[in-house]
Amino acid sequence: MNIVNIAIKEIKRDFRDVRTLIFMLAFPIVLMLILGTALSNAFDSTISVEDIHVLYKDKTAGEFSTYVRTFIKEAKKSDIHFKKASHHMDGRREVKQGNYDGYMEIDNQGVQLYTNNSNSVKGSIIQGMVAAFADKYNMVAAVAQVKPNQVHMLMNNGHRDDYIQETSLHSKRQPGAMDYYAITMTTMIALYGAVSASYLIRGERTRKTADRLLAAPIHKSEIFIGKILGSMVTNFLCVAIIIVFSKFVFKAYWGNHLALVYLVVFTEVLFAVSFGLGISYIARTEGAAKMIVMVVIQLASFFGGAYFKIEATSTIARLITNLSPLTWANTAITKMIYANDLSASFPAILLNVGLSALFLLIAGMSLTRREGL
Amino acid sequence: MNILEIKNVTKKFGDFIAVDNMSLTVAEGEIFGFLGANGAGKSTTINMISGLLRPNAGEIKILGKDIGKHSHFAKRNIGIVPQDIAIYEDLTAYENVKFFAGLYGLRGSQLHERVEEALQFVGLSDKQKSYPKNFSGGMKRRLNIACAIAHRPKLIIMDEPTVGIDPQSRNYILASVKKLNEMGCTIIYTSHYMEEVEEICTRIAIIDHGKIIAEGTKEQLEAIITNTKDVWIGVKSMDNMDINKLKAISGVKAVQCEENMVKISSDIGVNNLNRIIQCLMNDGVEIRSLEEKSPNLETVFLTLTGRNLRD
Repeated sequence: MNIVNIAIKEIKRDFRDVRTLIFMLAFPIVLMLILGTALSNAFDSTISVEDIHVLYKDKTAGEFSTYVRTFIKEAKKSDIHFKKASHHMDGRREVKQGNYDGYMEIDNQGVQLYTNNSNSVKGSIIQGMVAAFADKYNMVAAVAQVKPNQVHMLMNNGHRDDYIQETSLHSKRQPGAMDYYAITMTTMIALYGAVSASYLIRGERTRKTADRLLAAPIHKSEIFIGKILGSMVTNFLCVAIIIVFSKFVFKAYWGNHLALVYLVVFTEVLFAVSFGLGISYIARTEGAAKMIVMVVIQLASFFGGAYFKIEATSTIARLITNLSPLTWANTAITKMIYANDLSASFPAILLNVGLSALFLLIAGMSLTRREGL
Repeated sequence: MNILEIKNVTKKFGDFIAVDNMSLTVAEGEIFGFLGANGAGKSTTINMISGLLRPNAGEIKILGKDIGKHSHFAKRNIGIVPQDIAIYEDLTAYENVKFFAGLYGLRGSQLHERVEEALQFVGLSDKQKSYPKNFSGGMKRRLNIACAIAHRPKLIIMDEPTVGIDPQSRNYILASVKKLNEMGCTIIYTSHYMEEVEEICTRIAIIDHGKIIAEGTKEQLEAIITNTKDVWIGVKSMDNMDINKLKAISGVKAVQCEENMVKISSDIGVNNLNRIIQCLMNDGVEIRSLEEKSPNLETVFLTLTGRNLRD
């Protein structure tokens, strides 16, 4: 009962602290609005590709030639235009000079393709399309050398016009700017819970209420648990409000596994509170504790992609990025929302809970050794 | 019955001995004054009684039970009014008292009644929904007391409860202390204001360098340093005055004359002032002023510790 009393007292006090409440609620919502609106283009995954022009030399004859013509006809439907190269033209040079997007040389032995690397999207499209054509063509060419009478049957067997297959590299839905910042701002503000937690017990000492608490017939552990519980409820409620607000006001997409998303965020709040509390016992002064917590939060926010996506290319950058608690949470939530990968939540939950246990252990041991709080 | 027994208690902080083999008893119904300069060991002693600090040696008993073994029993019977105001500025007066009283196991209607009772006792009933951040220093001090008494403790420890407040609030608090005592509470009272201790305390202990150096009623303490009291009488002229007649008055030990002032030293406890005045008037000596000087607590403290209480 004492634990509940202390927790309720904490919650009441936290919700009456207007400045902190504004920071915890308004700050992420305003940032979400600004970044989500300003950077909306950066999250657009649509790429416009103009018509593609391919130069080709057809040295085939008979059945093969017909097959090539059919292929070129089909390709035109997809705005890929093939132009026959004259004998004196150097197709490779034409591509190199940027006059064409690709050069294809076909003879009875097979297909050779040259594309310009300066436009990888067009090059990839041509490659993909020609690869589908070449697979069969090369097979038929090989058969023709051994059993020429089988060529006609092979050519007509399984007529295809699906040389360009739409294969999505991404899942059906991708996060827009608002979706992205809804996640990152939520997880970032959850981590900010560490700031108030660093003052959780120390505040009682500064306010001199610690002595009055300790003079009451209750255990230190009840004070400890009650205060942590209260702080967690407050921080989690703030985060929950932000999720609801972003979902219904900003129309941010939170997927179909909201309960699991809340669970990940809850464990992050647990981590934040435990981290702040642990640091308050490790650091000698209130100022030092606050500084350590703030520096960690800022770095974690930056490398965790709270303000913009971090594309970590080097090993060190990847290591630093992966050390951010925001990376764990953001990755887990994003995978849950956009890839239905529920198992992605486990590493984040385990890391959060494990590190929380470590920091709580440090705080608990320090508390046991002290005569006061 | 003794509500508090301290036996051979020592408390060290590193090499520093804050309380040195202290023994002390406080009986039920007393208002026990605890005097000591800053750093004398007063707060350490109070913190050990409250269960905030553990003694390195010795034992402390509340109502006959060792606080080390029965800490919850002891704490339930103690109310502490700390020197620093220990309240939450962002909880209302009612919520503050309710929260702390709730930690003593009070629930429901009983809790509500006790909270109202405590707030009424300190005169804050009409401010129960107000936040302490809007209170004056005196009101905060009173709320500080309310938080300590709502659970009706048998022993109330008041550590400098009148620091930094206006005379009106001070009088209110002193009257409250007496009233609490009349209601059956035992009070341990510390203050830098000697006159407060003289006014309300039934017994006083003086602590210095972690040791009790004197203990007793105000009169007993005064008697430690002297057995005489002095009367200073200002006269218009000493021409007709007969010093021998004055010396013959019962209890008078010495008579000294300096300009127009006569200093008459008598045994403490002898009430001979009327006879001295009568004697002078019979001789036709015109009395212009009269001042009785007996050693007060301040003098006692200064004599015993060699420093002022506010040092």
